[in-house]
Amino acid sequence: MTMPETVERRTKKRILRLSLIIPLLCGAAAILLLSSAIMASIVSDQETQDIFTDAAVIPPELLDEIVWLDDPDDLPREMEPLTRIAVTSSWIRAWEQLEIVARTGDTSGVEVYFANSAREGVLERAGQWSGRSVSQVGHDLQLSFYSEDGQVIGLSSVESHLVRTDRVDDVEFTRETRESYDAVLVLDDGNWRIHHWVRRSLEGGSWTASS
Amino acid sequence: MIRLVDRNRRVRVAAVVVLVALGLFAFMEARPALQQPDALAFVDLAIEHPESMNVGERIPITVQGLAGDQVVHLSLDAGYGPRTFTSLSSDGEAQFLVPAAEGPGAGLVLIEAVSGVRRGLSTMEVVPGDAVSPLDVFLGPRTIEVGTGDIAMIVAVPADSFGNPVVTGTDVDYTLTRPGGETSTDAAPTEKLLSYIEVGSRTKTGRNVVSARVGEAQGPERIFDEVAAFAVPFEIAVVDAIPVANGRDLFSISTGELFDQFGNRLPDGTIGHLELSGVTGRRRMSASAIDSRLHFIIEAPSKPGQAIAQVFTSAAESEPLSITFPTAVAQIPIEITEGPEVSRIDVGRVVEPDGAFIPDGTPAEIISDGKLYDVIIESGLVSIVVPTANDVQVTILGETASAQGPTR
Repeated sequence: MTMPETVERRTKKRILRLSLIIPLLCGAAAILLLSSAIMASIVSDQETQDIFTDAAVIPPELLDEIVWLDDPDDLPREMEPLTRIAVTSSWIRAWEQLEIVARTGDTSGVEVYFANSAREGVLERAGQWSGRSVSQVGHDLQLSFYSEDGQVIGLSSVESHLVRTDRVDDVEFTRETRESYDAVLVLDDGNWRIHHWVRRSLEGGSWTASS
Repeated sequence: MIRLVDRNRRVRVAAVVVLVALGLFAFMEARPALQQPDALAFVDLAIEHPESMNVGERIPITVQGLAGDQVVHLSLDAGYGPRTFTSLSSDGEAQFLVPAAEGPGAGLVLIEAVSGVRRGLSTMEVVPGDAVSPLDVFLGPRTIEVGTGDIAMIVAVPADSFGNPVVTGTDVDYTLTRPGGETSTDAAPTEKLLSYIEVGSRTKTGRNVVSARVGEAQGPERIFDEVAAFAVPFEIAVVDAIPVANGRDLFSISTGELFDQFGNRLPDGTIGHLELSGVTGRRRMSASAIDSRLHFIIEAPSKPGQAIAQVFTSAAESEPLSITFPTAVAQIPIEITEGPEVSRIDVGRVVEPDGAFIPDGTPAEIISDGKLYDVIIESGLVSIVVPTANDVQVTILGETASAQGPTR
């Protein structure tokens, strides 16, 4: 047996080995991908999602758009920093909830953020948005009252920057508004809920249409 | 020749790839423009309506500027969402009469009219109605301490029959009934949707009842308690007879009624603790006041002697009380019987001062010629067998007796 023949045989063996190894690796990768996909579907099925339903995460950029103006000097009680964070969260989530109601008609989360007249108000109108919606861009908030026992808050949104949309057929009309509200929030079961809010002013831009 | 053909094919393939890439790039660039052909909508519908209405009134609204018979959608939104109405235009305008029960709610109402791509916008003020029962009344804290400057706050959020907070400046009348029946009234106007008053603590404990009223509208009464804050010094005493020091009988120490500086009894649940120190050591125990008294149940010490008891509350303490526990053992008879190889020690019958046997299970220490034996007494007796019993010492409940055996 000559040397070139030996080299040629080795080369052929290598090719044969590679031709076997590559399909095997591909098969292993495919199995891995398939099993991970199955696992993902198992851990994210509807039942699991129902069990682990967390409150919606507030987008950080939205938190940046919440500005607290200075508290009035004559407040009966100073607000604690953690309470302010909780109220901020409740205010944002309440508006988020209103948008969910407007876009999907799903009212299951309304009672988490609204109570009393506010809850009834949102529920009564839930079926009448018909293509309209409202989304929040930012809020300038000011505390107007904080009760001695830390149970009731009077809150003014000096300026709520909102985007109101209305879809008619394939055309979506969009309009930015700057509105102000007075609100009463009450601590129920450890959660700040909006009992009332009343719009005090509204300034809006023009409608723009997009298809 | 073959190489030339291959090269041409490669060039063609490369050109096709470049063209496809360019096409994709152009499509991606053009796509946003296709998606967002923003344009100002045609806002030319005029909406005629009263500038201000009272909630609960029917609202006449006319949408003008329509051409022919067209469907017009009208929406009124006071903040919680729109109420929508639909009408057909006639002679260039559409008329709506919004029913009272389907009004938008109070506040600044956004009115929108839509007909196809034509739109109209306006706002109007809807004034809330008078307050109706029941008023929302919140009170807290529900317990304040007398003489400390504590404050209870009553907050009322009056609303009309549609749930709208009433007009700013609406007076809310509060009636406060103090402990003892004294009644006072106060009033505060609503501002930023609510009204509140503060009630400071005074010097008499008891229940305060507050009610709020706006005209004929009333709310549920709310209650808060004024309670005594700190006790002044008090007396303590042993409730029953002082037991003998048998280490098992229970006895009680109780305080007198606990009062604050204003003569108010301290509330039940006031915590106090007893410190008791004597010949068997120190012990500390806590109790909650019942009927304004602290009551401690203690086990008698196992040695006779004096103990000092003192009770403390958060701000006051009793005078120290000295208690002398008499011995529980009247006599300790000891009998030593010498045998040929061992000796027997019989202790008993041990009796209490009243003549009864000391209780079964009472421990005793017998030291015979320097060796300690721990034994238990039953029926007032205990017997042990020891190698030698020349010098015997018996200790029971702190009392000691000794005996000498015959020298072997």
